[in-house]
Amino acid sequence: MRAETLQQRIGELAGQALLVLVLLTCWQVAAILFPAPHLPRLERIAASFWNLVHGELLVREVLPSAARVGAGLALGIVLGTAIGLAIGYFRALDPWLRPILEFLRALPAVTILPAALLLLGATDAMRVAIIAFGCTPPVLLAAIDGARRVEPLLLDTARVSGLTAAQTVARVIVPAALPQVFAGIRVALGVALIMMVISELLASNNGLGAFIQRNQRLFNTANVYAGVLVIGVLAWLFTAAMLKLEKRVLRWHRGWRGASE
Amino acid sequence: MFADDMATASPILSVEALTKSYVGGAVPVLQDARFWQAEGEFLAVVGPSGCGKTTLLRCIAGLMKPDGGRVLHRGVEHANPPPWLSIVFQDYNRSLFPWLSVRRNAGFGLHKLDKVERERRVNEALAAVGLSHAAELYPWQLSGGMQQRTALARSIAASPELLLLDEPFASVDAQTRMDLQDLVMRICQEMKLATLLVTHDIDEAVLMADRIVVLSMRPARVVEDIRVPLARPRDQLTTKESKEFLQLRHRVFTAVRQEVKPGKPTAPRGKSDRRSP
Repeated sequence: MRAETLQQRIGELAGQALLVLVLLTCWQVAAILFPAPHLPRLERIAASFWNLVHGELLVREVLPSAARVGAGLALGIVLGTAIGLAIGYFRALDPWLRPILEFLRALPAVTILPAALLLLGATDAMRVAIIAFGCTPPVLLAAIDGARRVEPLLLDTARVSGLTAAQTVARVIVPAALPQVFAGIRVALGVALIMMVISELLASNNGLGAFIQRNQRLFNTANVYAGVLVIGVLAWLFTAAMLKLEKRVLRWHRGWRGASE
Repeated sequence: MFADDMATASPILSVEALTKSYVGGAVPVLQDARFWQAEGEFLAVVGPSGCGKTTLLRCIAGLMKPDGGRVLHRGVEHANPPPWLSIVFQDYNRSLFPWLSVRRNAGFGLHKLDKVERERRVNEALAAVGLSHAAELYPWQLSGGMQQRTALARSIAASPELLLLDEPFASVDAQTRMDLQDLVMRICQEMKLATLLVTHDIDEAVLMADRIVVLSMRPARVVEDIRVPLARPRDQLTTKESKEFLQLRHRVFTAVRQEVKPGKPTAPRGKSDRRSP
C-alpha cells in the first residue's frame, strides 16, 4: 500500500482528468476546424460507443469477442500450465523440447491464422483455437520456469509426508509455480486480445474486429473509433479481473517476497 | 533412559554398513557406517563439518538410496520415506510452505486422517510448541525460532516413531537455540519419542542426547559411541556446569578433534589409497 494522503490522490485524479480533457478538446477543435470523414466529432463517437455497449450491438458484436478471448485464454492457460508443469517437473524432457518451445515463442502467432482458416474454416472454433495457440507459449514457458524453481526441500517434505505424485503436483508444485504462471498469463492476455481482433478482421461476420472493418468500408468512422474504444475497455476489464484474481490467489506471495527481501 | 537398558530390546533403528559415494564413486561420503538406536532413545550424531552427516540422515530417511548397506526399522528394511518417521530440516524458511498458514503447515502430512482427528493433532502439536496463538499466521510473518517451531509441530503432529533432526538449531541465534533445545528435550521426553539429532555442536549433543555417535572425516564411519548418563530433566545452567557434562564434552570434543587434526591424512585420499589394487 502506498503511503499517500487523500489530498494527494485527489490531486492525481484531477491531473489525469485534466489531461484527458485537453486531448479531447484538441480532437474536438480539430474536428470542427477541419471537417473530414476520418475526423468525426466527439458527440458522434460517443453516440456510437453508447450504441455499441448496450442493446442489440452489445449482444451481436461485443459479447462474442469477449467470449472468444475468454475461451481462448482459458484454453491456453490450462494447456500451457499442464504441459509446462510436466516439462518443468520431468527435467529430462526439457533439453529435447527446448528448441521447439523457443521456436513457438519466437513465432508470431498470427502467422498461423491462414493455415487455421484452411483447417477449421471461418468458425468460432478456429478463432478460439488460434487465440489459445497464441496464449499457450507464454504460459507454458512460465510454468516450466515455475516448476523448475520449486524448492527441493518442499519436495522432500512432501515425500516424507507420504504424498503421492498426484498429491505432490496439486499441493506443492502447482501452488509453488503459480506466481510464475500468473506472470505468463499477463503476457498471454495481451496476445489473446491481438489474436481476437485479427481473427475477426480477417474472417468473421460478427465481433468487434468485424464491426470495425465493416464500418471502415462504409466510411462510418464514428463507429470505427467507438469500436477501438470498446476494445480498449474490454482489455482494461480483462486486465483488472486478472489482477484481482492474482491478488487473491497470490496474497501469500507478496507477503513472502516482502519478508525475504 | 540409557543405551544399556535398551540394548537387549530390538532397536527401533539399525544402520548396517551404510556406504554412499557421489560422482559415480569418485567422492566417497559414507564408508561402512553402522550404529543402532534403541526405542525411546535420544541419539546424537556428531562429526566434523562436511563429513557426510546430512547424507547419512537422508539415507536413513529414505530420501536417498545408499550404494551399500541397510537401514532397518525394527528389523525391517524400507525403501521410500516410511510413514513412521518425520524430519525437521535445518532451513526452516525453505522447508515450510509459504502459501500455507502455520496451522496448515503443521497439518501438512495428515491428509490421510479425517478432519476432526487432524484438527485435534494439529492443535495438540501447536500447543506443545507454544504456537497456538500464531496458528493463522503465515510462516514468513514469524521469527526464525517460531518458524522452526512450526516445522517441529508438523513433525510431531504426524505421531512418528522416530524423529530426525538435521542440524535444526544451526540457523537461529544463540538465545533462540537454547529455547528450542529445551523445547525439543521436553517434548521428546514427554512423548518418549526416539530422536536422532544430527549436529556439529558438541555442547548441544552432550546436553540433549542419551548417547552420542561420533563420525570420522569423509568418508564417514562411526569412530566412537559414547553414553551420556546425565540425569533428566536437563537444563542449560546446572547440567552444563556439572562435572560430568564437562568430562563428556571433553571426551566427545577430543574424539571429533582427533578426526580433524592436521597431521592426519585427509580421509578421501587415505581411502582411495587403500582402495587401489
